[in-house]
Amino acid sequence: FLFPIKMTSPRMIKLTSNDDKTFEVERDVIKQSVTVNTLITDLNMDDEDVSVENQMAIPLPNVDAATLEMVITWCKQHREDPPRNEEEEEKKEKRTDDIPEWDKTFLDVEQSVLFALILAANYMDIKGLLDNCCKTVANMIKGKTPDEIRKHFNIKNDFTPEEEEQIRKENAWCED
Amino acid sequence: KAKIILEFLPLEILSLIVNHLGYRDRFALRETSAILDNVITSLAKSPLESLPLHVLLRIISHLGIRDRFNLRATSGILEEAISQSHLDLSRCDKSKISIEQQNKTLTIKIVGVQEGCIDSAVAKCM
Repeated sequence: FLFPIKMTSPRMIKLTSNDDKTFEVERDVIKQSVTVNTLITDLNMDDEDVSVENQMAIPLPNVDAATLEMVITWCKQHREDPPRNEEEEEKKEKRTDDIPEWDKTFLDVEQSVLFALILAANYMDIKGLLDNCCKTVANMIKGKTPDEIRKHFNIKNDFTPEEEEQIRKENAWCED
Repeated sequence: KAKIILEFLPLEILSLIVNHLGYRDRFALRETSAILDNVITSLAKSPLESLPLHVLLRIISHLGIRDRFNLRATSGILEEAISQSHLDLSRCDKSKISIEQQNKTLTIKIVGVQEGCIDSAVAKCM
């Protein structure tokens, strides 16, 4: 007996960046974004009868095309990750030496790109990406003196001399 | 009413005003509305200072006490942010911490910390 097999292609979702570039991404991949996921559900976009051509693109006004492309690449890489339990994550020991190797390489980018990615992960509510970006920035801060941190992140010292003296006194204990 | 007027000011005028504000006032202004938050963060020169507060606190949560103190000493905006984070004693070097309990009084000592300096840190821990 031969049974007809219905070939189903993965459900696709369209996303538009703030510079008007549209990306098609698998529904299963972008489910990691709570913001997009909520929009898809609220707008009934999971309707199987609507083809991707007739589907409305989801606008992401806070994300540019280059950053969105990176976000999608990250989501593809992590599509098989188990769902995160935020309560459990909060209880876990805070550490920054557990960033997966793939993510370490992926996040080894210019500072402006990394911070754009942080803002996009925050806006699109992708906790895993946001967490690994934050750990990467924390690793940049670790072990540096205030002057080194200022230089690294282009921070302007806006303390008054009195305030700076007070902070220096308070910090004296950790400069041993 | 004042808030609405501020939000409608051209960016260059608003930036002139913001330049005259200290970090605490900038921080307070950021919290008044999303529009002003966006404007003020766009004026920040450092990417760290332009992050939303809860993201900055997320980064700080990964730092130990020494790195938090060093970050705190870099600028007023970051000092303000760190003062809103909870210093977690479990992340301190354990050899430097002693906790004594006498009746109902719990005394926490951190070796090397000047008296008075730890007040705010311990208050946050509690």
